Amino acid sequence: MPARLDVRPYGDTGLLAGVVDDDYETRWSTTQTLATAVRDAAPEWLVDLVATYDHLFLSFDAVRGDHETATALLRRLYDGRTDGAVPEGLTLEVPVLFGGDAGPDLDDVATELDLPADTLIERLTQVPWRVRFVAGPVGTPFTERTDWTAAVPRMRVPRVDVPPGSVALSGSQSIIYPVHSPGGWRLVGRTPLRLLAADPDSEELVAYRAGDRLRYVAIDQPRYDELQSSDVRLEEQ
Amino acid sequence: MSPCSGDHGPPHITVESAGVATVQDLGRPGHGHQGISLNGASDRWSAQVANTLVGNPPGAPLLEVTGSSLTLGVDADVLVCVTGAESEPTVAGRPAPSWDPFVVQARASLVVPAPVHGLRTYVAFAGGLRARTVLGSVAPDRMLGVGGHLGRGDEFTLASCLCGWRHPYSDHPLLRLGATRPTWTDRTVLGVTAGPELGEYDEVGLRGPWTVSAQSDAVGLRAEGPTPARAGNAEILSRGVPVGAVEVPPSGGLLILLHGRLVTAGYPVPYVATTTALDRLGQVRPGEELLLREIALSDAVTQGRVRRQRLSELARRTATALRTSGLGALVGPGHLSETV
Repeated sequence: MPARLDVRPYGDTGLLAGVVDDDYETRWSTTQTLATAVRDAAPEWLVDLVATYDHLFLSFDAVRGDHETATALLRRLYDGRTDGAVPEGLTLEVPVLFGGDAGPDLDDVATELDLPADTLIERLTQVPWRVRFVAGPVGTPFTERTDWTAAVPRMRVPRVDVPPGSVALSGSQSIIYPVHSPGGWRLVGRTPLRLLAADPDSEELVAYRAGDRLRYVAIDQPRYDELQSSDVRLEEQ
Repeated sequence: MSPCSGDHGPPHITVESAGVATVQDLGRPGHGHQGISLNGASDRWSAQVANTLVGNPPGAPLLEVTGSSLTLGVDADVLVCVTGAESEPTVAGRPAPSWDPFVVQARASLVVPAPVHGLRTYVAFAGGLRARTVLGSVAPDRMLGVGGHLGRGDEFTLASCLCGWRHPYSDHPLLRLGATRPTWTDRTVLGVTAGPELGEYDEVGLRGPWTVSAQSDAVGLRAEGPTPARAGNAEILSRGVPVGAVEVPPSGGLLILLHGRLVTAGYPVPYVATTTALDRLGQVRPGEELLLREIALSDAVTQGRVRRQRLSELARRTATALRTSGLGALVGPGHLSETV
C-alpha cells in the first residue's frame, strides 16, 4: 500500500489525519514527527493536537482557522517530511511492587501466558517500554514493546476504581494509571511514585513524552512504603 | 472598575443551599496532548450569553446548576444574569428575569429554582467569580483534582458591586437586551456531521429516536434504542476524539462524548454533534428523545459563525446599555463588545 495521509473533517472544528503505511513503526514515527512539526509551526488557530499510534486529531479555533487551512498545513508538512525517527528521548526508571494487592492480576496473567509469575516479572522488567503517546485519564503514558509477543487480554468487566500508580497490561501495551479511575487493563503491579506534577501551573504535568522509555524495576514492600512516604515524583533520576 | 462608593471590602456571595452546582468556565483547551480533558460548562452558549450580559468576557467563571435549585446571599448590590434551562429566579421573593441582567441588592437572597424545562442553569456575576484556577481554568476536573460541587456556606469574592447606583427610571433596575431564549420540545433534533465510520452503518437506523439514559454525565451522554449493527469489525486503535463524537459502543446504544471526555477513544464514530447541537445536549434530560439529523459540514460551520456574530451583537448592545445606565465600568476587558 503506498504511503499516504488521509485527512478528513472530524466535527465542525476538527480534523482527523490517518497515516497509511505498511510498516507499523513507520506509521507511529510519521504520526509523532508530523505532530511535532505542527506544534513547531504553531499556527494561531491550533487548539489541541492529539497524536496516537497512527492518527492525529487536531482541533482549531473557528474564529482564526478552518478545515481547509488546517488540512493544507497537514498536507504540506506531510509532503515535506523527512523519514526521521522519533527522538530516542529519556529512559525513566519506574520502581514497581509486583503481584499481591499491588498487582492483583499478576498470577492470572502469568497463568494465561503459561509462565511462572517470577518469569513474567523478569520479562516485564527486562526491556524498557516505549512511550507511544500520553493521553487520558490525565497524563497516562501509553507504552509498548515490539518484542512483546504474548498478547494480554483485557478484563471482561472493567474495574470501577483502579488505584493510582497501577501498572497495567493489555495486548503488547502497558500503562500506568496516574489517578483513581475506572479501567479494564490487567493490573500486575504498582509504583509508589507520583506521576503528576503537584502544581501543573509551575512544572510540566508529566516527565515523559512520546519516544521516551519506562523501565520497570521490581521492588519489595519496604522499599515501596519508603518511596511512597517520601512522595517521590516519577522523573529522570 | 466598580462604581461602588461604599466602604466595604470586596463583595461576597454565599451559598445558602445548593443541589448540584459547580463553578465553571470554558475549560482547559490546548492540553489534549497531556491527556487533559476539556471540561467546563456543558451549555457553552448559555454560559457565554450570561457572562456577556453582565459585561464579562464570555469565558469568565460562573455558576452551573444541574437539575436542581440554588440559593445565594450577597453582601453588596451586584449585577447578575441567569440563563440556560428555563427557571423562574427570584430576588427577595420577587420574580427576577432570566436572559437579561438584573440587580440583586445587598442582603437579599437570589433563588434559582430547579428548571421547568432543560437541565442546566447558569448564573453569571458582573466581574466574574474568583476561584482557584489550574492551567488557566476553574472548571472542575476530578482527574486533575480540581473543583467540586458547591455546598452550603461556600463563599466567593466578586470583582465588583453596584452599591450606590440607582437606575434612573425604576427601583427594580433591569435592562432588556433581547437575547434569544431557547424553545423547548420533548424531542430534540441534533445536528450532526459525518464521522469516520459513517459508511459502516445504516444511516436510517442511526437517526433514532434515541432515549436519553439516566447513566449520563458531563463525560458522556448515553442514549438507548435499537442500534444498527456495524458492517465490518476492523479494530480501531485509540485515537484522538472530538467533544461531540457520537460513539457506538459494542454494548449498543450511543455514547455522545461531552466536554469531560477522555481525549482518546477506540469505538466507531459515525457522527459528530455540531458545536451548536452540543449546547443543546447540555440541556436534555434523562427520558427525553433525541433524533440525529445529518447536516453538511459547511452548514455546521456557518451555524457556528452566525452564533458568534449574534453573541458579538448582543455584547455591543449590552455595552451600550450599561454605559447609558452609568455602568460602563462593568464592561470589563475581554467583553465581546471590544472585538471588531
